[in-house]
This record gives sequence, C-alpha cells and structure tokens, in this order.
Amino acid sequence: MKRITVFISLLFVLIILTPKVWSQSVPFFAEPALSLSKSLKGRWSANSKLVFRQQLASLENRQLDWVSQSDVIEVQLFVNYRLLGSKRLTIGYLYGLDEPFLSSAQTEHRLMQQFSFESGNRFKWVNRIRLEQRIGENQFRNRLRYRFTFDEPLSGDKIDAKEWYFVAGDEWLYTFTGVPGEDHLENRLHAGLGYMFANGQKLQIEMQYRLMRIAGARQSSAWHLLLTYNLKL
Amino acid sequence: MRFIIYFAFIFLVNFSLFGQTDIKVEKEESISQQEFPLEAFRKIEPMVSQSKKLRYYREISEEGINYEVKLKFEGTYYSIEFDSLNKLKDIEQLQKWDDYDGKSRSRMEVQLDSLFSDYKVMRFQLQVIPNEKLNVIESLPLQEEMIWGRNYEVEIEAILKDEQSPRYYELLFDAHGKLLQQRLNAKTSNDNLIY
Repeated sequence: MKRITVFISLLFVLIILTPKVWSQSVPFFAEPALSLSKSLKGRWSANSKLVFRQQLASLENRQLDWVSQSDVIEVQLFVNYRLLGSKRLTIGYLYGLDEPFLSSAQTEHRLMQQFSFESGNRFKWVNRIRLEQRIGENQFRNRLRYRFTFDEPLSGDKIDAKEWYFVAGDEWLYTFTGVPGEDHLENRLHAGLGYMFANGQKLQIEMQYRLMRIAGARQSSAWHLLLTYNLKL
Repeated sequence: MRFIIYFAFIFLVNFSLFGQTDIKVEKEESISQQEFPLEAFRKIEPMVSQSKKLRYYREISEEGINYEVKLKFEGTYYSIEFDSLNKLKDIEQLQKWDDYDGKSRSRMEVQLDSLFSDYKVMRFQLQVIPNEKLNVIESLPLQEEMIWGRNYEVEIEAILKDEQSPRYYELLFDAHGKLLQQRLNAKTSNDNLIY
C-alpha cells in the first residue's frame, strides 16, 4: 500500500507543478495499444505490440486547447528466451510511422536488445534494461533504458481473475547520438489501474508523465494516457 | 485510415473478451482486522502487537472459508491460517533457500534433480501443522529441531525431464524430505509489466 501511495502522490505533485514550473505548452497524448503474447517451443516466446499515439490537447497557461495532431503508429515484435528465476532475454524490432496520414510521413526502424528480471522478496518488481538503435530517415540514435514496474492487487495478496489491480513504475532513458550537445536524459513516471479478466488477459489504463531533455535548455514535458490491452494467445 | 485503425483495435479487444472461461478456484480478499474472526484473532493477539506489515485475508475456495494473517515478526515473515471454526490450520515461515542447510535439504534436492532437468527455487517456506500439546504461536520462530509435524513448501520455476518449457510448480515435502505433493502453480503472466 505504501508503494501505491508514493506513486499516486508523485503523479499528483507533477500534475500540480506542471503548468507552474514549466511555463510552456504541455501536450497531452492518448496512446491505445494492443499487446499480444504467444508461447513458442521450449523456452521461446514471442510478443508483439501495436501502438497508436495521438495528441489530443495542449496545456498552456492553465488553459486546455483541444488539438488533433502528431499521430504515431508503431508495430513492435519481440522474441524472448526464458531463463529460470523469472529472467528473460529479448531481441526486438520496431517499425514506426510519424504522421502516417500525411505525405511527409517519417519512418523509423528500431532494433532492441533487452534483459528483464524480477526482484524483491514478498513484493516483486519487474526490472527491464533495454538497449535501442533508432534508425530514422535522417538520423541515428542509441538509447539506453532502465525501467522498473510493479502491479499490486487492490484486494488480496495476488492478482486473481476478475480483479482490479494498481500498476506503476518509472523509467530512465538516456539517448546518445555522438553529436555534441544532443545527448539527453528522459524520465517516464506512470501509474494507473488494471483489470484481469477470467482468462488472464489484462486491460490497463495509466497516466504517464514524461520529462524530456532533463536539465537541458530544451527541457519539456508531456502527459500520456495509456490504454493497453494485454492478450495471451 | 485513422478510423480503420481504431475499428481494428476495438474489434480485437472485443474478440478477445468473447468466450472467456472461468478458471478461478480460489478467491482471496483483503479484510480489516475487525472483519477477522475475534476468536482466531485472540490466539495471535500477543504476537500482533509486536508485528509489522500486518495483512488480513479471507480465502474462499471449494474447501470453504479460511482466514489468514500475514505479518513480519522479529524480522521474519509468517503466514498464519485459521479455518472457519477458528482452528489453527498451519503456520508458514518464509526462509531463504540458500540459507537453509537443514538435514532435509539434500533429500529434497535429490528428488528435484530426479524430476526436473533444470530448476530454480523461487520461494521456500517452513510449514508447521499445529499440535494440541504445544502452543505453536508462542514457539516462533520455528526451529528445524521442533518435534511436531512440519512440512517444507518449495516454489520453483523448472523444466520437467520429459518437457521443454519451464513452468512454475509448488512442491510439498515432509520433515524427512519426502515429496508429498506436486502441483502446477498458475502464476499469471507479467508481460504487461515488461512490454
């Protein structure tokens, strides 16, 4: 319960501080996603994710302006090798389209290498370390990410079917480009609620706060409303 | 184009919701201390006052209703379960497998090696079945040498010798390290936390 309180408090503080501290436009995105998992032979499994991101509004001087722009579509594919002890090695590929409905659409290819593991004794955290190579039409960027997340049932000690749960986490992302002044740090804090259906599938709705180019001249922030359906085939 | 993507998303979600089957056999719900049976609570009251991280649960299963309290007492995690008649069912004491060097360990390892091609112990608990002659709660922390009935509950991630895929299992060994029960542990996927 302490962890839930901490994460909700942090997000609440950020909501309060956002328009005051960063006296600039803060975009608000909606991000529905569908995540599919499939067990393969032996220790192997595969995951895919379809993400659709759209800016819905912009917060400026405490005023919310409704907009509809900056669409992004991403298709992600992962292949996992399971190690015993709740550890997993993963390689992945992402194909992204920025502004896919415009003739000026930009594509991105992304290669990902990932290691995930559980930590904690009675309360488990899932840790994810990911290295990415982002290949855009005009640029190449590397990114190192570390994320920890947990979910906790609102009732009981474990998440049972037809139950709600709390989910939260934090992620640090460091982008390195080789171009002086272009390397930057980002943080993503998220918290929300999930529901597990009788068949084990999960639906999650979360608020995510992104603070980008931390401590840089071009520091900015954004809010993302994440709606993810996790389906196991 | 945008409409098609939204439509496809909604269709996939609806499709996956259709045809759900109920697989639940036990429901565990958090309750307050006031909802915990008074007679059962009185048995643990002296311990509760010195414990941390107290959580009370009601478990509803095909066997009936049980009540459980989980707590941290003198640095050790315990799970104490009562039946609906307020009778103590068992006490489980969480231990680190790596720190456990009891007499039964080698016997348990022999059996694990014979059943699984590879395994990793995820959780290890000393389980005590109460004895009318002794006040189990006053005897905490549980000791290896205690004479009354005890079992070992071992949760592992393992690959059976005739299989290729790892799964989670819950095994119960008696005081002499003899395997009493082996069952699949239906651990829910944590893919939602990874991707």
